[in-house]
Amino acid sequence: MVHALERVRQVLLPNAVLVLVQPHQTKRPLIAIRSGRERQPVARLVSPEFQPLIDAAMSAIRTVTDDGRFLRLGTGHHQFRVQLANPAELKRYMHLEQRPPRFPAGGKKRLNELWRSGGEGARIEVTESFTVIGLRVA
Amino acid sequence: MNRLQDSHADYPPPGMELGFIERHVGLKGRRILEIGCGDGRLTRQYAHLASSVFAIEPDPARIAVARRMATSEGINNVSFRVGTAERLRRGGEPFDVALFSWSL
Repeated sequence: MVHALERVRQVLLPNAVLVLVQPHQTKRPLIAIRSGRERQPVARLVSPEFQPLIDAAMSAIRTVTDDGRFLRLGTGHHQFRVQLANPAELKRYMHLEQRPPRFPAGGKKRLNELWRSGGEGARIEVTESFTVIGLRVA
Repeated sequence: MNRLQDSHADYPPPGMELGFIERHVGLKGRRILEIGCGDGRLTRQYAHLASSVFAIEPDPARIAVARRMATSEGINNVSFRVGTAERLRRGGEPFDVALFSWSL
């Protein structure tokens, strides 16, 4: 990943800007049941296969800023929410990833219990967290 | 980190990433390199601002979709190519801005 950043640096103008949109390093998708104005958290998903890739990407960004190839302009952490109609939709959503996240122990059971008690009009809400990092060519 | 199907809803709603990107750099009139453009989901959001865009993606099927969708939207300042950051070659006109969107 450092190599990728270096190759990009080589095709940028001096003082050019590189912006990276990344999954948040630690906040994996948060699942909740939304019923009217009520929101009941279910679980934060886990991604054992994906996490090393995120960590490696963040490490590469630190390397190229620490060694002075890029200057850090700023980092922002953001969220967006997706509402899904039912557990089947959630399953489909989770499998959009090449390395799908999964529920932690007990998470799926809690989802099913809260979903059953959610009543008509309940939705499954997924909160996704991401990070936007701005770098300038040094 | 690309998703299997870029157009599904597991990305921020249209315009959201662009707003955050432009907090770091304005894209108007810029020559932009996008790494890992997927099906061009983000590319199509900002292409109208840029002077030109060179967008690369390792998956030929996604590049085909990106080209088709850009053409259908009348976008003609984007060059979509199969490729990776590691294989970028020096020698052309350098870029003002580079974007990695969920792709490092």
